[in-house]
Amino acid sequence: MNWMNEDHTRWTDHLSDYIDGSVDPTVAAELEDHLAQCGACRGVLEELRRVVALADALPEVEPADDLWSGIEATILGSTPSADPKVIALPVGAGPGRGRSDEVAASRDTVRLTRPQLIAASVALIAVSSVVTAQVGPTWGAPSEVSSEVPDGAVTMVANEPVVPPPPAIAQELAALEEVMNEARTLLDPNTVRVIERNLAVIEQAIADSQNALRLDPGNEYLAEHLTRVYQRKLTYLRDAANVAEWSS
Amino acid sequence: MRLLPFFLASTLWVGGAADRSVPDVSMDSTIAVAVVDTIIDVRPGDRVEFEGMSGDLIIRGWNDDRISIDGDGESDVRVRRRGSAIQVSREGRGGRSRNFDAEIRVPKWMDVEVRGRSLDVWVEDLDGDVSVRNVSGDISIDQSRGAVEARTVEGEIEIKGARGGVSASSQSDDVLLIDVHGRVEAHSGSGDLTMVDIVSNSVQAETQDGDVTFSGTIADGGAYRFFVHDGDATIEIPGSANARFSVSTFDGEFHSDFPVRLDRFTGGRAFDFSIGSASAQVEIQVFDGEIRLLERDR
Repeated sequence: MNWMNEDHTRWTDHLSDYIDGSVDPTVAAELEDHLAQCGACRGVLEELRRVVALADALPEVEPADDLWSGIEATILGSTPSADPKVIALPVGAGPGRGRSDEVAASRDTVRLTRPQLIAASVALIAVSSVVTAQVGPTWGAPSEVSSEVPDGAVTMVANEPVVPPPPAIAQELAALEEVMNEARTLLDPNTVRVIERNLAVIEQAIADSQNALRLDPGNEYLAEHLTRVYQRKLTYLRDAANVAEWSS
Repeated sequence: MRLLPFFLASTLWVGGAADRSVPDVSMDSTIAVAVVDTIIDVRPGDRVEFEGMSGDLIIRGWNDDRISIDGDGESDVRVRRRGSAIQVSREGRGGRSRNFDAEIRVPKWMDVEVRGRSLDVWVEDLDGDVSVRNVSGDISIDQSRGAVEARTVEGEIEIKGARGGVSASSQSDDVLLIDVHGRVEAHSGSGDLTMVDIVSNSVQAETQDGDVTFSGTIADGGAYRFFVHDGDATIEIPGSANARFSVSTFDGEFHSDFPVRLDRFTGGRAFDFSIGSASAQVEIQVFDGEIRLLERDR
């Protein structure tokens, strides 16, 4: 039995670095062993190589200015992003509004149950996450963060320019937030509270890192740390979405 | 016609409050079992999967090619064969959600997979791989010779004596690994990661809000990575270790039992240094907290 029978994220998470040649040698050897046996992951690798080739041929495009605010709106539980590039999932069908067991993926096409939809979204996001590192990082859109650096010496003011996640990561975060909004109705309220509390810890880490980076913009460690925390948030949301999938 | 499914379902209920039954699960089949005391024959190569569980589950390996399920007498489970997988799932009755408290014995060679909602899980003495994913509840795995995966959103994880590597993640509680051999991946969202007597050439540990403590060997050519956002990192390694260290912190102190002669200084509080032949790579990043590099046995 592999460590993760039902999902291959352990391996696909490394594919991007593998293509870059920057993956740890030990991991590379294990990955190659796995690829030799796993057609699904080989398929993802080939797809990723194709996407990378296509991405290399694309001109650079500035991200939309309001990307981050849309993500924040989703994080805060308000209306989801209307960006057609984001996975379209219905939201707001909470218990109080009557729960539908099926949702339409699109008009007169396939109908999926919620768990199926979440599973499909997780799978799609898992693949798109592999592409993430290839597309980013591009920094730019402003955000609102107000917190203190660790020693409490400096308090940052809201609306200052900060370092948002790369657009591709932001898009995936937004998609996952939508998945989690949908999953909220399937999960136990206590679980939802725990997930929200844990997300708050990650958000605090993001705020800390952003504020530190304001103080020391050239600090490579801080930039890397912030990226790592964003990546951690992605991983967390993917895990949470997976929990919603198999516990529903 | 509508009565037929009901009739068939009724005939599939086996066992009873005091029966010890041996359902035939040699072919793909679905057998609902009223659990108090049930034994299931299995074949070499089979694996067992527990799905949708809530309650307390104790799983122990034994030298017998059968699965024994000793339940609490109130819960029902459905036992189903899918190829080489024996699937055990909680059987709801009348829409009521019941806990399933049981002690289960499985052949030592068997791979075991558990998916729980609100479940405390103890797994002991298995040679096969073990995978436990839980929404809430503690996970304890002792003496596992195969690969171990343990994930919970809310609950503590304790793994002792694993020999096939460990991947452990608790989103909001502590993770404790003791006497583990093999690859280690440990994560906590807001809990401590404590790793004691680790023998591995690949360790990655990360927590957002908690301390990381590692005590173990450093293998030549190995890779060891420790990431903490808000907390301390204490790394205790042998004095004979050969490693190159990359240390970074934004707001914290660094203490070392080892002499530090910088190989690289990148500004701020980030630097590299080596001990011995620098064969292994050790990366320690702490955003806000102390880093302590200690010599074992000192």
